[in-house]
Amino acid sequence: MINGSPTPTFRDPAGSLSLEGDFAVRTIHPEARAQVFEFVASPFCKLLQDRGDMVGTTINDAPAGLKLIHPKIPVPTYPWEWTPSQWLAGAQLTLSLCAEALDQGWVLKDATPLNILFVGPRPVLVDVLSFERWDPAPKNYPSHIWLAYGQYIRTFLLPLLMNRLLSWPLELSMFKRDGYEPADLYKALSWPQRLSRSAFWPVTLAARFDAKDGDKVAVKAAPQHKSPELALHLLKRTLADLGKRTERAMPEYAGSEWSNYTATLTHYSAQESAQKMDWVRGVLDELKPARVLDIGANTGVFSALSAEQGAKVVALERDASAAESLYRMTRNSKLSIQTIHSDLSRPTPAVGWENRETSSLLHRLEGQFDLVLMLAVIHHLILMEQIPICAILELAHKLTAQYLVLEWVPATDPMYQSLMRGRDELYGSLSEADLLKACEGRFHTLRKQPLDNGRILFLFAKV
Amino acid sequence: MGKYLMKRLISVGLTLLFCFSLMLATERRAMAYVDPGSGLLALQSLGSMLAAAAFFMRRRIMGLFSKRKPLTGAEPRLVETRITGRKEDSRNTA
Repeated sequence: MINGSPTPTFRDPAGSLSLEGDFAVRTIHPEARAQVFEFVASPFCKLLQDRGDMVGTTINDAPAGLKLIHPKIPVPTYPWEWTPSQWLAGAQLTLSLCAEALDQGWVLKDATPLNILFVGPRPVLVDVLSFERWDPAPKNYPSHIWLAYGQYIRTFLLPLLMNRLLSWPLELSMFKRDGYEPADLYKALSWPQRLSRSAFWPVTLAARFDAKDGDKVAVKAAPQHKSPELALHLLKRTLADLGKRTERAMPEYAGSEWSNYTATLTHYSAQESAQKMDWVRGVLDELKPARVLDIGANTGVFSALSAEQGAKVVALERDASAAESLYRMTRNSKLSIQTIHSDLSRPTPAVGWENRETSSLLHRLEGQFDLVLMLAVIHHLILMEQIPICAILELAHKLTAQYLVLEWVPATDPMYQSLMRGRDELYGSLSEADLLKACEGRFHTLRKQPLDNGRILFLFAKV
Repeated sequence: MGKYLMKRLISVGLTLLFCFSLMLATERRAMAYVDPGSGLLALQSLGSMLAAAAFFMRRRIMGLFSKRKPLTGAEPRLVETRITGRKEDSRNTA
């Protein structure tokens, strides 16, 4: 599949990361060796790893240079695939780790969602090199300044805020590696928004300071340092203030058409719903898949069913509101479900320098799963995205390592009819036979269960 | 009482203005691996200065309110809360 593994990272002067087999290997540059070694060997670093807040790290102190070996996270996700609550969880982890680090004499030198990955519903800091010794008397800036403050606001706070104020999709963060500049956002906001409680400080005031500072010529002078105690107090106040501002920037949660889908099912009676649930549960019981991909997971009913059976689940949902509900459910239930807000028909591309800094969604998902669930989703792909059945089955064949559970929705189904919107000539005659024809050479049928509402559940095995 | 309160308010205001002026006069661009921004750096400085001013003048600020309602006339629970609050403040200076 196109777009392979990402290229080694190159921005951090302390080291670079590359993916090698089942591991992520971080090569430390010689000039940063002493400080990095001190951190990774510290009890604080071990505590963060034991707690699961930071990625596991094995030290390989070879003569050729210091290397840190991390287990590879099976399906990494990027901020442009997160729901608002995932952004908030990542932001809160960043701020709380920085505050905790200050107590131990360390500080985070950068603060971007790109340093966070999700393992199930839990955010994990993966950039071990983000920690550096806190200097109570730095040469170039006052000691009460957190250098990553600007980056945090640009990359965490402002995307959330613009999602709340102007409904700018969080997916846009894909195009803004270092986030939004306040001056750019200032132009997009109305005066009431500029003066609103959530935007006045990080947008309006920052933009005014930007304009003022742009005309000034920097003068070199020794910075004014506070006492270490006061500087620490101020840094912690800064972090706490950012935490409150981030919570206030969260978009107001509103149910969308699809997030209420399972609650307002009209094409499924309670009996039919139970029938489908029992059948899927039976399949999960029998196959006991270790890794499941739930495509079109909606609010996560079948993801939860799979996770309760012991599977590690990746749940893909394209509707922002449904994905948000799904993530909240996984966070509250603590089930091993990783939410990805993305559209299978327009999957996240590889982005960054030479399109090689992050990999495409399909590359990350390919062949990772024992079982792929495509429940009540194929008619959306056929009718809304106009994808041929053969192409859908071909993609499913690439994604699953073994099994595919697919719910076939016949042309007579009310949902199929409403999505067809008069295109009967093109789609009105599609039938189960067309599905089985598309399976030829890719899947064979292991089990078939017609439901009372005319839909059919299939269990396919990969050929 | 009104004259006293006005003097206090002017005193607090002047101190804040002094801190802000000091910040504008002394803040310099930082050297960092991540871009600290210019407006955002100034913003953080402003926030820190306000926090520092509040930290140093917390007794004065509290005094603005405590003078208006003498503690002797207050309910015992309220008095206890205020005393606890002062203890917390004094811990911050340690």
